Amino acid sequence: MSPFAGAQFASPEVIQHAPALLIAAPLTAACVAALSPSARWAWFASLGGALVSLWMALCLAAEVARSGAVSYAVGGFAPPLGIELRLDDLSVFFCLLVSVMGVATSIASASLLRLELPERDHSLMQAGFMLAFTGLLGLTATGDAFNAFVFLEVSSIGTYALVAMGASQDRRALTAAFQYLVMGTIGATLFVIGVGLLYAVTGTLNMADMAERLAASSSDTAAIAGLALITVGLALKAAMFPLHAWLPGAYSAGPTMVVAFLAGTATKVSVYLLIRFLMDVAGGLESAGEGLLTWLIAPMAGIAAIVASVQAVFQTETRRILAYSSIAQIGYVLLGVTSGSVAGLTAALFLLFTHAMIKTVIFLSLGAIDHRGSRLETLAGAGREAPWTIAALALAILGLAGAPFTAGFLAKWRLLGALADDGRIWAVVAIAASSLTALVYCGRILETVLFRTRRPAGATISEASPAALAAIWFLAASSVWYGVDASALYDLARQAAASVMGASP
Amino acid sequence: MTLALVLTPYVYGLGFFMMAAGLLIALTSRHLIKRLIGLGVFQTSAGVFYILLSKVSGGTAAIRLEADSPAAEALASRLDAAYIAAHGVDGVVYSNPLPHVLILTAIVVGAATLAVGLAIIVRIRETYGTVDFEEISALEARALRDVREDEA
Repeated sequence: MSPFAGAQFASPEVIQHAPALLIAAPLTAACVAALSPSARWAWFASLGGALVSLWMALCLAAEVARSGAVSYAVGGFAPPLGIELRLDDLSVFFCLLVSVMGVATSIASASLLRLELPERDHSLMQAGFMLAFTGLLGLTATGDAFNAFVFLEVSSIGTYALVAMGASQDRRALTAAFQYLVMGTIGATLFVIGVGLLYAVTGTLNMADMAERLAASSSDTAAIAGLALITVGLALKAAMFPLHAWLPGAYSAGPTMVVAFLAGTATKVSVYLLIRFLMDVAGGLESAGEGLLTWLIAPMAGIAAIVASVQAVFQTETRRILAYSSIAQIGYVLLGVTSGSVAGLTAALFLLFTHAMIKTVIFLSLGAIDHRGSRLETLAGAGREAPWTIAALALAILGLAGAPFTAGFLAKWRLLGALADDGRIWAVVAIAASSLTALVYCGRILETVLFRTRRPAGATISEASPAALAAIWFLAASSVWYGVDASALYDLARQAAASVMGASP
Repeated sequence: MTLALVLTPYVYGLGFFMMAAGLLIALTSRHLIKRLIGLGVFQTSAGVFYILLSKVSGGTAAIRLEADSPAAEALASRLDAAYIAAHGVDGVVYSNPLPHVLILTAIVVGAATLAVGLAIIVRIRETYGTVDFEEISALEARALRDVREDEA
C-alpha cells in the first residue's frame, strides 16, 4: 500500500501536465536565476523551482499510486516514435529523492554560498544548481534512451562548472573538476555508444518498446555489447569501484552546497539508470542483464564496500573520509540490487534513500558551520560553538555508522537480512566487515567534534544560519523518524522494487 | 556501390580506432588541452558510429525528392525495382535520418563540454601557471608537504 494512495495534491489539469512541469519548472528557474539582479532574487528563483518540482513529484507519486505508470507524450508526438516521459513506481521513488534533496539544498544554499563565494557569483551558482537539478529530474522521468543521455549531460555539465567554482576556497577544485569532466564525458560517451548499439538491434529508442523487442529477440551479441558499454558508462557516473577516482577530489574541493546536493543525488540517479537498463530494458535478455549484474557489478560492489571503507579510515580530510564512505555505500546498494530478489532490491532502495538524507545532512552542516580548513582536526570541539548543527551532524554520523534507532541501522539490517535469505553469505560478510571499519572513521569524526578541544590556530566555527538549520534538521529528523517507523518509505521502496522485478507488491 | 561495400567494415574499423585513440589520449596525456582533444576524438567516434548505422545501401540523404525528378531517377537507375519497393518511400530510397538528428544533439553536448573544459583549463593556467598535469601534481604535493612541515 503506497503512502500516497488516495492523496491528491493538485487539480487534474495540473496533474495531466505534471511530468513536463516537473522538468520545466527548474529549467525556467535556472534562466531566471542567471538573469536575476541580486543573489537574493536568484535564491528565490531556485527555491521556487525546487518547490514546484517537489509539488509535481508528489502529484505524480499520488497519480502513480492511483492508476499505475504515467505516460506523457512530449510535444504531442505519441510514443514510441515521439519522446516519452514515463513515470512508474521506480522513477517516482527517485523523483521524490531528487526533489526532496533539491529543496533541502536550495533552502540552505543562500547561507552556504554567502560563506564560501563572493556575492557576484551567487546568481550563476543558483542557475547551475537548477540546471543540474533539471537534468537529474529529467533522468528519472524520461522513457527514452537517448533523451536519458541528454539529461545525463545537462546535469553533468552543470555539475562540472559548479565543482570548479570551489576554487576560491580550495584551488584543487579546478583539477578535480577537470578530472570529473574527463571521466564523466567518457562515461556519457560510452553510454551513448551503447544506446546506439541497442538502437541498431531493436530499431527503437523508447525504453519500454526496447524492452519488448529485446525480450522477443534471442540473445544478440550486439545487444550484449551495448548493455556492457552502458553499464561501464553508468558505473563511471555512479562512482562504482574501480571507476571512482574522480569522486573524492570533487567531493573534497567543491563548494559545500554542490557537494551536499551531489552526494545525495547524482550517483544515486546513475544507480537508477543501471537498474532501469539492466533489470527493466534487458529484463528479457537473461544472459546479458543478469550476467552483468552477477559477474561484473556484484563482485566490484563487494570489493568497493571493503576497500573504500579501509581507505576512508586513512584519510586526514573530513570530506575525503565521507567521499570514500559514499563509495562504500554505493557498493552496499549495488550488492542489494544484484541480489536478484525483491527483498534485496527493496532494502537497497531504502538504504539509498536514507543514505542520501544522511550524507546531505553531513555535508550541509559541515558547510554551514563556516569552518575554514579541510582537515578533521579543524573541527575539534565544534560541538561547543555550534551545538544545534553539530547535534544534527552527530545524529547523521550515527546513522552512517548504523547505530540502532537510526534509519541507517534499519536499512543495513534489512539489507543484510535480504542478502542472507538469498544465500549470499559473501555479500553479508563484505558489508559486515565494511560496517565495522566504518565504526572507526565515524567514531573518529564524532570524537573530534564532540570531545576534542585542541584546534589548530585560525580555524573558527559558528552556528549555522536559521534557514540552513531548518533544512539540516528536517532531513536529520526524517532519518531518525524512518529509523523508528520506516513503513512509509519502505512501502514506497517495495513498490518500486516490485515494479521492476515484475512481481506483485 | 561496390567500393562502398568493400570499404564498409573498414569504416566501422575507423570508428573503433578513433574510439581507442581518443580514449588513450584523454586518459594518458600530460597536457590538459591534449586530453580535451582526445576527449573530442572519442566523442566524434560515437558520431561516426551513429552515422554508419544510419546508412541504407543505395539510399540518399534524407531530404525529400519528388519521385519523378531527375535526381530520384538517377538514384533509381542504380537500384532494382524490388529493392526500392522494399526500402523506399514514394519510390526513393533514403538513409535513416534519426541517427543524424541524434548525433547532432550529441555534437552540441560535446561542444558544451569542450567549452566548460577549456574554461576550467584557463582557470588552471591562471592559478598554477601551467597546464601540465604532472607539474600541477608536483605543485600540489609540495603544498601538502609545506602544510605538514608548518604543523610539525
